[in-house]
Amino acid sequence: MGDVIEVANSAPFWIFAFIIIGIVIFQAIIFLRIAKKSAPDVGMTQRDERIAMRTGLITAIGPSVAVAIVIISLITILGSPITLMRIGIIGSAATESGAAQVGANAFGTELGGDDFPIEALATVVWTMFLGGMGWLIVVALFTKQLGKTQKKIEKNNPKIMSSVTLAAMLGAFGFLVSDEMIISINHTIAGIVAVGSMIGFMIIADKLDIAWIKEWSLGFSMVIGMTVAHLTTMF
Amino acid sequence: MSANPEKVETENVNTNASVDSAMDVFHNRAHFWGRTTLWVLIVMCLVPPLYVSFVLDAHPGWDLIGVGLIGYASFIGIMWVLEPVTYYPTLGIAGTYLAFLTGNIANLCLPSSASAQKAVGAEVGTRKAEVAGTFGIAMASLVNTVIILLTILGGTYILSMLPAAVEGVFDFILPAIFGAVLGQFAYKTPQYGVLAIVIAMVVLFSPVFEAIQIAACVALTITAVLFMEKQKNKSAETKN
Repeated sequence: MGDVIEVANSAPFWIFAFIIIGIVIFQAIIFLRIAKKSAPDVGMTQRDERIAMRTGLITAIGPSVAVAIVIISLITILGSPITLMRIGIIGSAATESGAAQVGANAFGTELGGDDFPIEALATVVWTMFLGGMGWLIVVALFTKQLGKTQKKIEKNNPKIMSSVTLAAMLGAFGFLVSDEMIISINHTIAGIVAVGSMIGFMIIADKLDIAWIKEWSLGFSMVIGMTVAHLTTMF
Repeated sequence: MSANPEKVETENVNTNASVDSAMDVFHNRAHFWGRTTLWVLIVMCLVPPLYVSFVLDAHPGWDLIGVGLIGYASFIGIMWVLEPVTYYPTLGIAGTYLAFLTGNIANLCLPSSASAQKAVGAEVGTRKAEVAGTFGIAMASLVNTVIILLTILGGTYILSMLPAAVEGVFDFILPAIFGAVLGQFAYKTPQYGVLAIVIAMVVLFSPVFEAIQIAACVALTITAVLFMEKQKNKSAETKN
């Protein structure tokens, strides 16, 4: 995968990445200004504004740092600028790694595989960027109508919707992890240990009611799964 | 304290109409800038793939791109609609535009919005809460972006410094991340997680065309889970 990683880390990708990150920063600043203009009308003092901004900032630090481990891991398979572009906007580390693997599979190869031509990278990039656009288009087109849609879906049995979503994610990630686990016994161990760790962390977080464990659980479970699998290769 | 409720009441009566029109202005601005930034980002999202395909001359063919996109949409497509619908009432109009551009809605934007509202004593559903939440999410978006940027720049450096012995760990990123995500969705009903893996193994070892394997797993798991939920409801009803 050496040549392809060089392409993925080349200057044009860094430029695209900084433009995309720039749009995110620009939007946040514009919305801060819009909110500032309307704040006095809803009874917010300047002190309230500062408190609201500071609280948002502090609350965001934990969850943002929590994805760091996952981000560093993605760099090794997608290169830095593509990781920056995909994690910087809608689409989580988990969904993007899924998208990347689905794209690679569509080309008939595996992420990180030895046989990974630029055309495979192209398929991966198309899948991730078009896939991530789904949310953007729905929100851009339909935010004005969303209030009504919500009532309609609530009427049509909300429980079925949540079951379908849960099952869709289980089906997809059940496939993605199984497809990896059949590669070698070490891959199987990595998958099983990661599933087990995550379930363990979530149960502990629920029992003890500690929210930050949930934020870090993805990173922690990955590291545990990867490390245990790597250790088993040494015997 | 006793004077407070009265004061608030008279204030509300006097200013309701003007607050309404002020919120209309806020919403109109939010719609305008939200849509503008989203559409610019949507166009920008086409640039990297077009660049690889036609500048680097590595176009894989629209059929393969279609296979990739359909495979991904088979499980993510439902989120494109369901997530905006689900989170919109809590995020508000401005919050929706912010959260769906920057991502990390449930773990980052919602908590930041809620804590900002609480910090200024705004009750959920009020206009004050909507504006306070916007401050919170906008700051969360900035913080998140800066931290991601630092992680990427620092991470590139860290990775170049890693000893070879540790590098072997990264051979197992994919099973570890996919497994962890599966655990996240399966922890409340582990039997569904086992079910998903069994279905996946059956699909992987049966002669299903590779390109539609993931879609097949998603469809089969949805069917099986809905069936099991129905059985559960039935047995619960007969017990009652």
